[in-house]
Amino acid sequence: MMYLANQNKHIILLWVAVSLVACKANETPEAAKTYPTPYTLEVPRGFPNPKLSTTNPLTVEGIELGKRLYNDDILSTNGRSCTSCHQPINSYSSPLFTSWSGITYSVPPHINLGFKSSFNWDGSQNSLDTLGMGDFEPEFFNTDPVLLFKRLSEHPIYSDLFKKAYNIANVNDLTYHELKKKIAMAIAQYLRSRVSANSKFDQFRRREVLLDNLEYEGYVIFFSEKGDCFHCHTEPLFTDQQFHNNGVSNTYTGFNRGRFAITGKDADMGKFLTPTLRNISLTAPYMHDGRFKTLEEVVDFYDSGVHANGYVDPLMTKTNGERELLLTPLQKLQLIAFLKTLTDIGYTQ
Amino acid sequence: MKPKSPWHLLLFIGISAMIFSCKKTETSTIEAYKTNLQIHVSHRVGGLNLLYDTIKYTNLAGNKYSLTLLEYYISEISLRKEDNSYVNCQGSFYINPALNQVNIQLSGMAPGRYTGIKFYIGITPLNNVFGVLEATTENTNMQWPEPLGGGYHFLKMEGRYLDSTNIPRGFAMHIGSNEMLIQHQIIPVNLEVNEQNICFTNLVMEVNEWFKNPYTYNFEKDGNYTMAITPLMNLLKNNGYDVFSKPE
Repeated sequence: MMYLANQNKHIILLWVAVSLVACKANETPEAAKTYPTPYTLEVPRGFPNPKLSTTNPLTVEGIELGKRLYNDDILSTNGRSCTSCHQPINSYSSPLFTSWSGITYSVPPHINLGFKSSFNWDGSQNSLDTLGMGDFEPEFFNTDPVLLFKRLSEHPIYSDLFKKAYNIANVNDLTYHELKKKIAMAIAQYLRSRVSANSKFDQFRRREVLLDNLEYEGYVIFFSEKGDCFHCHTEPLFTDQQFHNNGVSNTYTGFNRGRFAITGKDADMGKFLTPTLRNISLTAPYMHDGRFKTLEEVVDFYDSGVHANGYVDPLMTKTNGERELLLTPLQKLQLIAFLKTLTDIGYTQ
Repeated sequence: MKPKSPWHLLLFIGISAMIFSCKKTETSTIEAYKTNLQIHVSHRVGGLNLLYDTIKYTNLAGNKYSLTLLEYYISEISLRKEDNSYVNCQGSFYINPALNQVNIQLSGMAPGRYTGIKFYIGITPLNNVFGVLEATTENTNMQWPEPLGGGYHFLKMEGRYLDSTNIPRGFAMHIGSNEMLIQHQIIPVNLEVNEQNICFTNLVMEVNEWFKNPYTYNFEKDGNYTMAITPLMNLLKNNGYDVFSKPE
């Protein structure tokens, strides 16, 4: 400053003033803040664009609200929270769930849901924003509406977050349907913000680590015609987000009908939404009905157990009409070793 | 640049502050002409409009078959002018009739009359590299794995056929890798492109053409699964040069 002429000092002051106006300050006094605060999702390199919602855009407060609700039994009267069935240690899945109608199925993991456009094994839901709406039913949370309104309105943190996230001054101003909808939307925001992209395989892709020999040979089997896993379990999500009949069943009744139960189209008989293989080592048992307890059983099935019927996906038919992969015991080990590189433990913590 | 006076300096600082605070980024593409051409691609099998999941088509080899999936890329479209020179339009277009992704938009070509159109089926080598295309669900599902050379599937055509005992079996005709890029023959057109109107034209893919001329492909005899099997992919590649035409 010493070398500046006096006549220029006022210009410096003006520059500071202009800068203050032009630049957003790092810290805004609480009273001057406006809510909600937009949140930008960091999308890993190579991932598709997330399926964001124009009617439920990501916000810091919405995600925080969703995170708390997801982990809290405040929504239920039976002590359950979302994590009761979507357990972190199982990649936000759980071994099996038997519905009141008697259907036993493996619970789809909550992982990278923000990139998906169909949900549940049969694709019965196509919006993450409304996916949680059914969880208030007696079968799951057995929610008591009166109790729910009371708990949320009297809870200092939830009252604050509902106001900041959705400009709801008092949840008691909502109908029960509206409240459930906002809760589901907040949880959807939280789930959209949850991205798993740090498995050993991701690190291998980023050239941070090497796969060992067993894993690398398994990688080659997975991504070649030897195993032919890649057509349905496509990188980077390890699901093509399509419906396939993988030949796991030979008759089609009840839940085994899969997508057919939703669309009524004969061509959809036995089709299920391709599950992601990310964290597959944490989500046993496998297939829609959890019929396979281990990855070894799964690999054995694809190796020599695929049923042959007119509904099975053409991709399941290999060269010259054979349905067998004819993997050696070593190749099966290699394939499983590769599948385990898709585990992102950090995501579960 | 040195400001000449305090007011010049003030102006300089003010403008600088505005520029650096707004972070406005704009890109603009200067196109020579404000012309637009839309190509609609339709798909037929044996002259019939494509209908999925019904075994009602017959190829030249006599296989009765259905389609369950058809997706492919068209790349590097070239338009032939009256003087036989070509206007090249760069880029790749993903086509999937099941998703109604059947329109190709081109722009910026010189106004005038065009008498032919040619293109590749697949992705040209510069872009046929794993992860180069935008990571849409469609593109990632078309990836050709790195252990098999990397890049993208050029074509996926899947369905079922009746074998000799009348049992339905699956087939998956997949083509990929640079040496399988299909240069389609030129298709005569008569397009008048101007800057006042969008020019529309149609092309039609006849699926049965993939299974004939020069080679009569038989699912049962030749193979129902072509991915990474060079001899079979070659048969399809050689048949694929004339699968498109301009509808009457």
